[in-house]
Amino acid sequence: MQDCSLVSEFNSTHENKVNSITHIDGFVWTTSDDATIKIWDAVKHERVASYADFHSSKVYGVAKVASTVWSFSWDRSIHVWDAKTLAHRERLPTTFHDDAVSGIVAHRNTKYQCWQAITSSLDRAIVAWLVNEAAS
Amino acid sequence: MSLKQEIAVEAFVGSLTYVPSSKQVWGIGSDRKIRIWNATVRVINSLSRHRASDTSA
Repeated sequence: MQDCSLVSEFNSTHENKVNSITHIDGFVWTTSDDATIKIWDAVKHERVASYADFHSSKVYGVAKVASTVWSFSWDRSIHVWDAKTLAHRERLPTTFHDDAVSGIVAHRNTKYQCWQAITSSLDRAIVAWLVNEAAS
Repeated sequence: MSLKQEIAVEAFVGSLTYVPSSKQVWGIGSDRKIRIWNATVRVINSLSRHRASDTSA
């Protein structure tokens, strides 16, 4: 049996508390109270992207939804990113949550034959989204 | 379930994620450092398979 040895240790370069670390399709996403998202190559252990201009407050985490990655934040917004190119795609309408978005879980909905994302918020609401993959 | 290995870390680790391709675990610490560990382990126990005929037991 191989030991669970430490392979590497390096500074995340986040300037405040780091809230999540999530592997998605070969990349590792970190999100922080500094309102930024940083993305790392899971093999090379190198940072490949850093986004500071999208969320205006604490970013709690990310979740994979179909071929995209959704980031959620204290600023009530959800931003959508391409899971392969890592490019920003859109900001989802903010009319559904009245407070911070606290969590996202996604699954393939067999009834509607598409991805469904469920978002939770400090506004005590849970919102279900059906994802049009042709548009995503 | 049994404890396989305990690793002391110099910071509180608040979040972990697993990278299947490299069999490594990434963790983020309260010191904002990213740490990566090897996570290759072998299965030491397997659950017995239950068949329909076993349900009467």
